[in-house]
Amino acid sequence: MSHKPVEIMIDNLVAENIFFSVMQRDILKGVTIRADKGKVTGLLGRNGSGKSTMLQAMFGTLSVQECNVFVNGQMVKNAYGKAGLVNYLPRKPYLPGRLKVADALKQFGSDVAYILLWFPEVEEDLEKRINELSGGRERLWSVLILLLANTRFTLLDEPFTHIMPIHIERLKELISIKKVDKGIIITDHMYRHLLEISNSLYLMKDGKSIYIRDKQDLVLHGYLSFLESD
Amino acid sequence: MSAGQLKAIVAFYRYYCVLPVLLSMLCCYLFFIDGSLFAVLMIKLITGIGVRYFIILLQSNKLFYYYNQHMSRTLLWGSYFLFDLALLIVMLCLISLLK
Repeated sequence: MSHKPVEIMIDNLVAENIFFSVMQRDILKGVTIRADKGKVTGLLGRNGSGKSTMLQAMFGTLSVQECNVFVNGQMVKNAYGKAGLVNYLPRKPYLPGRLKVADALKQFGSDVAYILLWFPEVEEDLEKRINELSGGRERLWSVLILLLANTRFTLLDEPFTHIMPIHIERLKELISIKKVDKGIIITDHMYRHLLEISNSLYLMKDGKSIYIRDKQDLVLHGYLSFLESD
Repeated sequence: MSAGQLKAIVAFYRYYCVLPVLLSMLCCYLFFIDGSLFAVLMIKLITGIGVRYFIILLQSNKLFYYYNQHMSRTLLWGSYFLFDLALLIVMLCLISLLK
């Protein structure tokens, strides 16, 4: 009796052959990126290297010259429009200023009790409007809403910016827990955090992505100027 | 469309309603003095495109709040213009009654 090997398909979101050029300058030259359930994919790169462009192309809100997005091998167009598939944290604040935090949480179906378990000190924000929050708190709520939302994939563009170190540490723990349920892609300039939480790390350079094994690779490819001691 | 999406569409119109409502009032005034429905609708159409352009230009990041609720651009802008048009029609009907 012959046994066929059982293929287990891990939930994945892949954006293939992303080409993007603006004013005759090639930003992305056929890059491929993927998010797998159970994994955090980190993305580093200098300013203007195309990290945000790539995430927005994957999300489906940016028109690029070429980009094919697949979910478990099935091509999808405008991924953002598919309920429960993917969400994206942009670099700039996206929550409407006049909205109350509690209302935003309700709108995205967030588990408030779970958030307060991780960040008890933010309870005071619940009845505040978004434009009454500090920059760091606004960013923290923005990240939490999307990270805990019921989607299969989450794309986070600079989630640690403006957030205080103690919250970054908790956020990293939360990301490590949430990756069990979803595939996560993170881009940030805080490379130490990305090195710590990413299962695979890529560096965007000259419109291509380079696989990064360790900090030395970042020096080798010119992202860091020297090797810092921990 | 889910209840949450409907709520988001209403919120979207509420956030960006000031300028379109002012333009609708201007259209109503023009309709009151001139009486040309075609001209009023053309003005509303052109200014509506302008309003959309300015929202995208100045508030593009805020649109991700709606995209993250899985609302397509067609649904978002289609509903926005439908709301706006419905409001204009109601206002024009009231003006017609006053005339």
